This record gives sequence, C-alpha cells and structure tokens, in this order.
Amino acid sequence: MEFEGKVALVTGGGGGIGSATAAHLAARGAVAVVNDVDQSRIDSVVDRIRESGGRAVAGRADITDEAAVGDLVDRLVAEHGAVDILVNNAGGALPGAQWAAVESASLADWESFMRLNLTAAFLCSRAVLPGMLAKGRGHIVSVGSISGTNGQRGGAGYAAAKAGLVALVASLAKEVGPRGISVNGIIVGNAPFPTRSAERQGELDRAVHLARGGRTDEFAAAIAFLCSEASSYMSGAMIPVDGGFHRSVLL
Amino acid sequence: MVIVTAAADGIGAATAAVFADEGYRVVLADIDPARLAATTSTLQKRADVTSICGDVTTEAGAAAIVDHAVQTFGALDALVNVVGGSRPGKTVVDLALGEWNTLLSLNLTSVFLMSRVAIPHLVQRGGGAIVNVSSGAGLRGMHANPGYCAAKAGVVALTRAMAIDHSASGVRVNCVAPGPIRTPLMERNRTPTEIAAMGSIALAGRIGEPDEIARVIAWLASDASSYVVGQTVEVDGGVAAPI
Repeated sequence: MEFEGKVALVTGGGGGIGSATAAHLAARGAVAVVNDVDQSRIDSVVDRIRESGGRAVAGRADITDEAAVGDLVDRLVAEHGAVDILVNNAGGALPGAQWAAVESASLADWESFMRLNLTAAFLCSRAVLPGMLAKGRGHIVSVGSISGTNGQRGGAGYAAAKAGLVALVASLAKEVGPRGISVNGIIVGNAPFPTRSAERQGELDRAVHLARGGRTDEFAAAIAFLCSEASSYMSGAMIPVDGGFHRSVLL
Repeated sequence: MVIVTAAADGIGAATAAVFADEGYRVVLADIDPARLAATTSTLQKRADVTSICGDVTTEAGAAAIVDHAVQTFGALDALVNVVGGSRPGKTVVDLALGEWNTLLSLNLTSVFLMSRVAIPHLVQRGGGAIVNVSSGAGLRGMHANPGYCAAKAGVVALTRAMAIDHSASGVRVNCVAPGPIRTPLMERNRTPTEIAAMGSIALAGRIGEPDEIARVIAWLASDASSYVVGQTVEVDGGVAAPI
C-alpha cells in the first residue's frame, strides 16, 4: 500500500480534518499517530481506525509545549522507529481564547492564536526533522486557511498566524527540500465548522464555485496527496482546497 | 475515459501512461503520426487505449478528436490539455505578428477549442474534469519568450474563467504550471549545461521528470481533489522561490 509502514503524526487528529486525515493515511497502510489534547477524542478516532482494519496509536500531547512535543516524538521514534510523515493540522482557538476584533483583542489571546496555529507547527517540524534528515526523506504537510490570505473579521490573530504558516512552509522547504524532505501544505476554505450558523454557511456556499462546503475527507485526500510520491516535484507549495473560494467576486 | 492532447511524448505521453495504469481508457491525440503510433503501441500492451492524429488549433481538429473519443469509448470523464510549446530567443521587439499568433494559437486557443467541444460531453454525463497545462513562464515570466509567457498566463485565466462558468454543471477545471521538466521540448531548446543550471536552482536540486507532472495531473482529474477548483498548482521543485 501507498503508505505501508510509514509513521504519520497528525496533530489535532481528534478533530474533523485531522481525524479524516489519520483515517485516510491509515487506510493506505500508515501507522496513524493521533495527536490531540483530549484523550477521549483520541480514543474514539483510534478505535474507529482499528475497527476498519487500520493501524493507529494515541499520541496525546500539548503541541504548544516544547517539552511535550519532544517527549512525543522521542516516544514515537523509540516505539515505532521514526516519524515519516508530519501533518501540522492542529489549529483554531485554544480553550479560553476569545475571537475578537483587533481593537478589543487582548495580547494573551493574540499570543494564544500564534502558539496553536504557528508556533506548534514550528515545534513539531523541528522535532521530527533530525530523524527525517538522517534518513534523507520525509513529508511535512501543513494546514493553512483562507483566513491567512483573505483576513478574517474578528480573527486577526488566527489569520496572521495562518499567514505565518505559509512563510514557515516556504522557508522550511528552502532549508530541507534539498536534503530530501518534502514540505508543502494546503489552504483550507469552507471546511465544516460545527458552530457556524446556517446563515453564515449559506453565505460561504454562495461564495464558492462548487456552491457547497468541503467534506473533511476531501481535505484529507489533498493532504495525503502531498504526503505521497505523486507530489514528488512539489516543494514549498500551498494548494488551495476551497471549492473555488473568492474567485467569483467579479460577477 | 480521458483525452490527452500532445500525447506522443513528454508530459502528454507520461500523462497517458499514468491514466492507463490507473485503469482509465485513454485517447491519445497528437499532430505527429509516427511518434503517436509508437507511444500508443507501447501503452496498448497494458491498457485500453486509442489514438487520433489531429490539430487542436483548428475547430475541425478539436471536434474530430472528441468525436473519435466518444465514439470509441463512450462517456468522457476528463480532458487534459497538454498541447503547447515555444522556441525562446526573441523579445517583443523582434517577434513577428505571425509568430505571436502562432504561439497564442498553440498554447491558448487550443485549450479553448478542446474545452468548448468537450464540456457538453462532460456535462451530459453529470460532470468531469478538465486539467490544463500552463507553465512557470505564465506565472513568473522568462527570458525572450513573451508570446509563450502571455499565452500560458492566459491558460491560468481561462482555467479560472471556465471554473466559474462550469462548476455548477459539475465540470471541475484546474491547471498545473510545470517548472523545468525533462521533455523533448526542453532538450530541443536548451543545452545540457543550461538544463543542469535550472536543476541546481530548484530546491529539489534537479529538473523534474514528465511523470512528476503527470501524477499531479492525474490527481487533479480524480475525486481525490474534489474540492480543488479553478486552481493552478505549481510543480516546479521549488524553482519559483529561489532566493
């Protein structure tokens, strides 16, 4: 199988796109490491993958914590030999962080968005690199957002962190691309979001060519493509997976 | 079933081979009968393929290719517009109007003509995919090749325009923009030293192989990219960001 025996660490693997990605990779032979901060979410994803005949292991850790990331990667290397694939998927808002306009946003909230959406990707990428560089191969795929290219009302910290992620991907690609590590990402648009109002969902759907929201398995499939040999000549790229978002502004 | 233009060699032949290996029935179209026959006979040993010789820069040629495809294999699932090419060496100051028109015809009008004939067939069966091949030249420019750059940029815009117009009918239109790839076109236009220099600029440390474009094309034609629409994906080994 395509990812037979590869160890794939998916951060935020308890959530929508993360769990779909873990399942997708596991269905194609990978050992999916489901990372999250919430053990019950991890367990439910791991169980689901195992029930469908895939291999999955729990990787609970707070990836905004440098030591915790180091411990997780050390454990994976000790128990499974390597981390071959890293999907920097975790994102959103940490517990307690407020979505707020810049004029009323606190510094703590700003820093919280940076930690989860940007610093965590730096920490995880840095932690898996020694193993990947020693083998001369590996895949790092990061999950951006159209908020990072379009901005987001009431979400400047999130949007700025996601824009930073694009630059992290580009920079990392320059540094380790020549040494065999594939570094790319996707830019997610109109993904499922449980607390979004029907009215807002309707607005978004009207703004994309496909006139519907994306399914988690569609984002997972694009991530898996960037983990595969089919994308072997791509480097530092961010592929928009957004149903054609904001392309039809000029009606 | 998929139609691949410029399928006799280079990116087109690699694309036909990838689709054949994925179980598609493949229609290879090209203007060069001898090379087309050779490529087709290789693929025939392992897949259900047919070929047609034709000129996609003419209305009649485009129509004949799609007609042959549909008559041979029935429902059309995807069209891959690979046709293109140029011979760099002239700036705008030196380029004759006839040369300019030829570049636009080969690289851009061909995509319009093939898509125009194919879209009704794709819509008729409930949808499908079109994948166009632009170039890094269309996004970033290149030396002494203005007609090619303009035409390839036009392919990016035409991709978006067709996505806007036909997504609602289920036709997903996307594009790849290859960087330096080891094709017959590249080997005709560039010396080995120049090719090596281009490879050294890429983060990958080498120029790409046709197969590495073909596999991205196959992904964009497949359901695995079902929420990717109107995009141009650069497949350039990181050449676009050399600093």
